[in-house]
Amino acid sequence: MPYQSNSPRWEFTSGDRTTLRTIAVQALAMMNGNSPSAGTKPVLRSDYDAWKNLAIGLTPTFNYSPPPLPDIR
Amino acid sequence: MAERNRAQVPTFDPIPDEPEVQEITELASVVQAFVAKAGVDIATITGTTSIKTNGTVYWGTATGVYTNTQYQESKPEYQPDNTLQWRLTFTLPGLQLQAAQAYFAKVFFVDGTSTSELTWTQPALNASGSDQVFFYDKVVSSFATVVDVAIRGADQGWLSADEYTAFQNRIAATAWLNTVKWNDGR
Repeated sequence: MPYQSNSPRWEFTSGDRTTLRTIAVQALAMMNGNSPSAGTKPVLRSDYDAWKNLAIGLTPTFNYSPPPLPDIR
Repeated sequence: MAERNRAQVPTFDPIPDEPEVQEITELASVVQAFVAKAGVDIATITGTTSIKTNGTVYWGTATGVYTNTQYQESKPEYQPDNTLQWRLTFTLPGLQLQAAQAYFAKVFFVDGTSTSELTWTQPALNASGSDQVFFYDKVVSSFATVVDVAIRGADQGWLSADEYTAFQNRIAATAWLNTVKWNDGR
């Protein structure tokens, strides 16, 4: 189903979008058993905790755009 | 004729009343809506107001004694019932200590009003940063979901409500399912 422009959604700032890319890159590293900071195995707790905190630090805005008003003419 | 040439006294419209200054009464009713959520090494204080306002959070480790501050501006947030609220969010970093620690905070708005004191307990630092984390294979699917959704959010700038919930849940799932090798051999 195509996305409806008036569907509720979380919108990210440019800073959040950069953070999301960092989250993805680090998740990919840990998925392969590598610690993001050093790139070596195993994953360090400090890196794992820092990665989880990245998600906590996101500040998206919940936007529910109301449907357009009916044309009463 | 003389009457006709007499200067006419100009008439003026009555001076309009001063527009009433809108009293900021909403804040008193919304301040209790502000909450503090403890993360691993971070806490988030967030709440909404019905009018746009900015504020500064003051926080510390003793009630009434605030040693840190952070200023933030509110952002518009549409509610499911189409009403507009203004969200003010503070992310407080570096809160995790060796022992569990109670924190206290107050948000002061630019008009001088404030929330009541918020308090929460930050979990203790139970392990060293050099501890090693090993993941079960089944965690891989959670990481894969996080990667997929995070890239989509970064590329398009938004996520649906369901996607964002799934994103948060999959991150939490890595903690539910992982195993941690502690320094003391646990």
